[in-house]
Amino acid sequence: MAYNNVPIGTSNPGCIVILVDQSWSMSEPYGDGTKAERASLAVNHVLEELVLACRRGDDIRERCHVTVIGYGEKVNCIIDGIISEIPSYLLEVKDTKKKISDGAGGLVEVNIKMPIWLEPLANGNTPMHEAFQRASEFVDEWITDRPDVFPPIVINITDGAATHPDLTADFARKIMNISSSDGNALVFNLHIANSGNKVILPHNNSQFTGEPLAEYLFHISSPLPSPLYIAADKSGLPIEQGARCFGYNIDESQMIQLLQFGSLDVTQIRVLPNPTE
Amino acid sequence: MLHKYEFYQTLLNDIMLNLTFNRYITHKEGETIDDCQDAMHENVMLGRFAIADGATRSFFPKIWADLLVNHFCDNSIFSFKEKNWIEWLQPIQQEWYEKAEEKVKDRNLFYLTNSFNTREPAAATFIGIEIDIKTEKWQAMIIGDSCLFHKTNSGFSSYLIEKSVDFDSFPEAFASYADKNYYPPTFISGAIHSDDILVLTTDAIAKWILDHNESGNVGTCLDRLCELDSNEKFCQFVNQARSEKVRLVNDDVTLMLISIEELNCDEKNKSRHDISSATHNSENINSSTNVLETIIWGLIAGVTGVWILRWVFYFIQDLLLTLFKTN
Repeated sequence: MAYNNVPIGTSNPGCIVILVDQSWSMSEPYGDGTKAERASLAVNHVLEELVLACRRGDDIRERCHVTVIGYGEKVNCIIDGIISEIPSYLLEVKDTKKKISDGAGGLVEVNIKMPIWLEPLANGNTPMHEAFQRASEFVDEWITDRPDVFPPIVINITDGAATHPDLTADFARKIMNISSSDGNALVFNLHIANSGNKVILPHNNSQFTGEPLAEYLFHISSPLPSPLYIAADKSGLPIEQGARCFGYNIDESQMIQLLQFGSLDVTQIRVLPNPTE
Repeated sequence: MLHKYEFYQTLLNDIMLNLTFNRYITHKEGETIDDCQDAMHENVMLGRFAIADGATRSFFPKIWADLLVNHFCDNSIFSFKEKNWIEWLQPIQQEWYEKAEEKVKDRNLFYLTNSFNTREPAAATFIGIEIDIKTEKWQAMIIGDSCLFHKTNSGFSSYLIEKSVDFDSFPEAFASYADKNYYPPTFISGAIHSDDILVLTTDAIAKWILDHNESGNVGTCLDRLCELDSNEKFCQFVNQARSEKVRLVNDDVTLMLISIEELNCDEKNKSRHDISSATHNSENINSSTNVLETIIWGLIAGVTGVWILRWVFYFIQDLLLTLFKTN
């Protein structure tokens, strides 16, 4: 179970399944907006990062397959396709402004295009178990067709209040037990919570004791496999042995960072070092 | 892809050195050669060789890597004496910008427009080396984790990274915007001797070589590389090394091997014969140079001869005129 025998690439695309909570509880305030806004923003940023990670020159290389499943009033497959097809799922591209360095010590405002695949939605119960069930079926099918690939990664973004927590846990563990010759499928849980510490890749629940939803999600998250542990350590994340694929109330940049190294071979996630940062 | 050239130089002390180079490239496992962001180039007439490793997540890294190696090898603007790397980069930074703009404009794609508008650079590690056989010296400019190795009869040197644990995911690099070049390159130099081997390679094989060096097997490992004689065999080697105990990291891989040997007597005589009989061998670059030199010297000798004959003619003419006037 090496998680590195078959690197993700155009010959062996990776598989990312994103589950996003769209239940009523996501309408609760979070920062200046709502949890639903926070979740949709995270999904949009993650998809954008995945597209950029698969960019070669002016093309999008087919390095991974992406599925996005929303769960709330209904369980809905929002996106399902190879990464090069993902731009075709765009709802809109918003024009916005961003200030950047002008290269001469000043700032200059430039035009930015913000891709929107997912709008905030908060309605109905939290059928997280159905979402995990759909994901497990998809993961099973993926590995049946490709028994030797890097195993699929399932990322669940939620406030944690599942309608059927036991069933959800069963399906999450079912996913974790599906394996290719390269390793078991991985389940990441990203918990959007209003209070408490920001915790990334914890090795126990000591930093969010008294938070039953967080403890619950921690226990249905995969142990971080060794190659990802090394990658996380190299990228500067505070991490200890026994870490799990769990982020609690983490901020935007941490969420992207977590998903970046979790979603693709870390050798493909290279950025220019900036000593000023 | 294999490129092999041999060329010969006549030294002042009449020793001839044979400089041979082989170069190889292949892609990450799971990718294709079209995805490879490495570049390499050489100019044997100038004795310049270069490799670059484009950072996959930067913006149009392959264009930048190609510009770097071609500019170093084919353009004499760069001077090791002046170390004018900032000025040297400027024309290709402009060229990269124009090529990127051409690809981005009118496309209206967020994944291109945002990177272009926010001045996201291309980045590439780089090694450029210039070998002067006449002075028996080499000079190199290096940035990042692409490594230069120099094996001599007396030892093994590694530039710039010396230990395999020092490789990380964030190497220093040349950037395609001037204000984003946060790190200067390092300049080094050395001497060459017969039987030396210079190795230019990107990080994956560099780490693999250092791993072997640390276990005392660098000689065996370099012998293995020197035995390769085609890109097909190189790809087979890479695939095998990726599953060995000392494991070659999965990445694009570029390797350039430059071997320096003293010619034996027969080869010296053959080379002299080739030059004196003005035969041309497409793989014998320096023979071509010597033929050119012979032609130039011939022209100079011819012009000088004509000038002397003309001077003698005028002298005799003046002498005769003087004699006739006297008579």
